Amino acid sequence: MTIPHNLRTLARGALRPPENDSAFLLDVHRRAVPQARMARYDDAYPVDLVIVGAGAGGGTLAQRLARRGWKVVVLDAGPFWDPDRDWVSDEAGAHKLYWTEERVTGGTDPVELGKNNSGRGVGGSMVHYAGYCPRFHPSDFEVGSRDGVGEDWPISYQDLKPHYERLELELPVAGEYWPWGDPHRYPHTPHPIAGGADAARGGARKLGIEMRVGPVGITNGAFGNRPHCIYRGFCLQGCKVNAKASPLVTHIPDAIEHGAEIRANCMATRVELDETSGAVTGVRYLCDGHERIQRADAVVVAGYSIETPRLLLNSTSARFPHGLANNNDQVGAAGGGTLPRGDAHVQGATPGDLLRAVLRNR
Amino acid sequence: MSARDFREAAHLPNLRPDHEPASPEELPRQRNGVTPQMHGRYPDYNVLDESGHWDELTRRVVLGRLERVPEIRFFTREEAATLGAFCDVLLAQDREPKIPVLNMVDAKLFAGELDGFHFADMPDDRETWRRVAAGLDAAAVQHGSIDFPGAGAEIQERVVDAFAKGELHGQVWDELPPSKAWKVVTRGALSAFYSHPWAWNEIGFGGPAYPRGYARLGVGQRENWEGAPAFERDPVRDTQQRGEQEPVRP
Repeated sequence: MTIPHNLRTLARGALRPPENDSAFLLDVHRRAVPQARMARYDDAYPVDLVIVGAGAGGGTLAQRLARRGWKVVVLDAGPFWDPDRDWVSDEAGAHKLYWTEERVTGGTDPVELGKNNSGRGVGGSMVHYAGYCPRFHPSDFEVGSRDGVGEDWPISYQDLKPHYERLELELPVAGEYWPWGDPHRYPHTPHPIAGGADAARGGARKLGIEMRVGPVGITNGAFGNRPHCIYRGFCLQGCKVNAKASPLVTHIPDAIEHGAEIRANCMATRVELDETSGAVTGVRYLCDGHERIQRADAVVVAGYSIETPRLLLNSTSARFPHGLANNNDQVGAAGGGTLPRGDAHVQGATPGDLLRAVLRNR
Repeated sequence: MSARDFREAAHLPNLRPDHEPASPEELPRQRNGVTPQMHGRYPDYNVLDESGHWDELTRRVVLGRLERVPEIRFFTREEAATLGAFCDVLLAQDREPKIPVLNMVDAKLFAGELDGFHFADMPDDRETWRRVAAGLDAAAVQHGSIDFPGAGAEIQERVVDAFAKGELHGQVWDELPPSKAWKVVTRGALSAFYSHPWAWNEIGFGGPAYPRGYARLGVGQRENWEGAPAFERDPVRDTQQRGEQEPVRP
């Protein structure tokens, strides 16, 4: 379905994403994802696909393939969150949202991790990310040849563009018209900005620097049964409101509706293989202290940049003595399988209080 | 330095010629609720007055922090004395009321609630805290004191300053990189300090704000329940209101 640009602007948040009813499947009065009708597959029954990780990658894929009739089981090491019951509106109280099992960072230039590096639980790390949803700039795909740093991507911006548009409708993304790279607009209007941002924008305008309110995956206005953001400021502690997008509310409900099973508190330990053919046969996992194997015709590992390499490297066999997908010793290696992302941001202090800074810039 | 200077960025340590923080004695005294040492930038604001507006789950967690100060169970008595003195210097908590930062850190370490990573050349965070305690005592001994808690304020500050700059050497510090250890302990101490409602009163933070949220987002606006900053209180009136420090009249 293609909608003309001007109509899209007029309709804004009233547009329903095609082929994803998640926001409408949520309960109006409770934040938890309804699970009463969720399918349950037997371990011995070979499902079409096992996905390891119910986050941004795994949760979305489960929804897409369940819609197309695949029998999908998603394993996640953490709980199936109920925002009303499990999350508190408090930073220190949000400790259990994060993957806090011991990780060691080393090498010649070790990356300092944070306490909230990856998600553990249905929704993945999007449960506690800030919500920022920019598209890549078209040139970001060619940093190797353009800037001589990192690697070029094997795909281009044009390959991803239709997926950006579709996901921006599904999350949905709220933001100001974006004039750079491939200019585009967002389905929801931008959220109001706080005092600090207002002062920065006024200062930038005085200097002739264009600034835009960045895109965030947070509803601006009700969206299905998801309410408006209340500007509480605890995006990184799990959104108790259900306003911020994470697969828990954007894709898992629709996946369940179409026959996927989300199996929480199940830690995958090994991808099982048929030694003669080399084909996958399922995933070994730990659940309540018991080791089980879910049989499957295909396996997707979507466990983020630390747990994905860990699972692949742990899945050794006579046929793949160095782990899966690792014949070239690139899995988990910096610059190979893992690309740390640079993050540029600017900080400043205003002399005196903000109100005066804003008035000065008007 | 007068109270009104706190309104300007010039009171920040890096903008002052001596690079020392301005004395908080110039701020008004807290009149409603508690702040650390009763310094009040928002003297009439008490976040706990709002607890009736929080969801039940969050209220239990936050009020529990005030009602149940955990006993020291992870650190030994000697370690607790050293690290307690260290936290006081680090957070400038020079008198009561003090946020019981070390008790909160101790409870987390005792329960094994760690940040989930450490550097390859560092031990587990729990072991880092213990070695920092030994290292601070050793550094105080280098200055001629018997241990860190027994050292005078000036030596304590000099040791903590050297720790912050990664300039501690000898004994423990030959095995434990001080700048990485500094990050571990300051991260722990600061997260504990700012998880306490008294610290929220000091910085005028609105607290949980769920399910109420915020509606007035613009600069210079605040919710009717948020505290007004008071950097410019009449110092004479304010001193009188402090009660015990009422000036003697002839």
